[in-house]
Amino acid sequence: MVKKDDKKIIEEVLSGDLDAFGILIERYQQSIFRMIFKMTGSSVEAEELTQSVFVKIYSNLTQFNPKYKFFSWLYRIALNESLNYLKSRKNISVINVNTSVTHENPEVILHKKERKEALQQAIMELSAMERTLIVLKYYEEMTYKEISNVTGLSVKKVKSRLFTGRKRLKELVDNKL
Amino acid sequence: MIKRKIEKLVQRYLDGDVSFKEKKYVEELIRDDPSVKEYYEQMMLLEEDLYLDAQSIEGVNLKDDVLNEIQIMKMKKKIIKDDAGFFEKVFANTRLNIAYAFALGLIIGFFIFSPAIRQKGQPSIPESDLYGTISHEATTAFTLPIELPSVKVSLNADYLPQDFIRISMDISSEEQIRLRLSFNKDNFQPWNMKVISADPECRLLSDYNSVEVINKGENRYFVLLKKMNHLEEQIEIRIFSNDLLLYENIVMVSK
Repeated sequence: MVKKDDKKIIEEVLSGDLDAFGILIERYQQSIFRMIFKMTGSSVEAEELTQSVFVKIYSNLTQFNPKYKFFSWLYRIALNESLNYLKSRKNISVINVNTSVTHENPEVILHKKERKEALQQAIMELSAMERTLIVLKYYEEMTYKEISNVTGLSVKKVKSRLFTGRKRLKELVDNKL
Repeated sequence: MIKRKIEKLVQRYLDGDVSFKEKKYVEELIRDDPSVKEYYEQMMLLEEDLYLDAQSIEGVNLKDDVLNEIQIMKMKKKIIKDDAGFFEKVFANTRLNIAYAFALGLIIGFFIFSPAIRQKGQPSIPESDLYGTISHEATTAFTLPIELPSVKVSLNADYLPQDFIRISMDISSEEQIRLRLSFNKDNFQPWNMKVISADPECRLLSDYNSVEVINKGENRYFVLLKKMNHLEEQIEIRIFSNDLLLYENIVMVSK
């Protein structure tokens, strides 16, 4: 089945088809949730914020400029929601660690778990901008250009800040292990 | 400890953001320099951890919740719209608002300029017309000379534009007299009056149904009446001296 273009779907939504908006939610909800989750460190908050992002998107859909990519606009709004949330909540301590059952060596499992915890804590200790870039690069697998579109930073700045972000993340993880 | 420049280059290599020449150089460094190799492996591990962490995040399905919230929001908006007052509904459309403003302007204009709505004290013709200096379009309504033993009156009425009637009265009396013009308020309304006299006792008074001149000596009076309909209506003229009726007449004003 051919994937319907975002802009075509938006036209349908704007002409009153709410079900068409459901397609956009299905298409982007995982990415947006994942990004907000990594930005906030709380899955509960991430669910609520993701929901409010989509409601906001729906309410402001008439303002979307079809010249630009829909997902960039969506991510930008989601990112702003996350940053606003972080501003309102200064102390972030909630870290959700997902553990899955595997048949690996218990020592390996423990080591992986420790690394995972260290990584998750370290991400939360990054600055909002560093975290944003890391999340967009590794969790959303965006290119420099796409990150630039979402954050409004130039590609050059994206590269240089990503470098310092990664460097700092590595140091933070190393200190925790 | 490796140089910052090499760290940057290794990170760019991991991102695939290097030229062919740079790629070869980094690969040589990784192969030949243990500290670079260590840094490269650590960064690669960090990247792997990040990608693994991304994959470990459980999915969500918020579609129904979002659509429900949107439906509720739309319902609320509709309720607010339905509950909105008459004016909010009526004035919701910008184009209609302009039309309303225009219509309102017309109504206000009608109230301001319509002679039918004018009130006493707001003559629509210049005061000079009242004095009879300008007589454009004026046609005679009636002329009434009154000659009594001690009172002389020359009463002239003219039709003016906009259904006004100007009555000019030249009165000469040795004693104080009262000349009263009586009419039905549904037919005439006193609009303006002017006394041309140096004597402060000479006055013009009016109520809804009459205009009264109090005169002593030789003086001139002007009264502007607004005719309220186009029927032939009467004006009663009486002259009193010490409450004694000296004269009585009725004139018909047709226009």
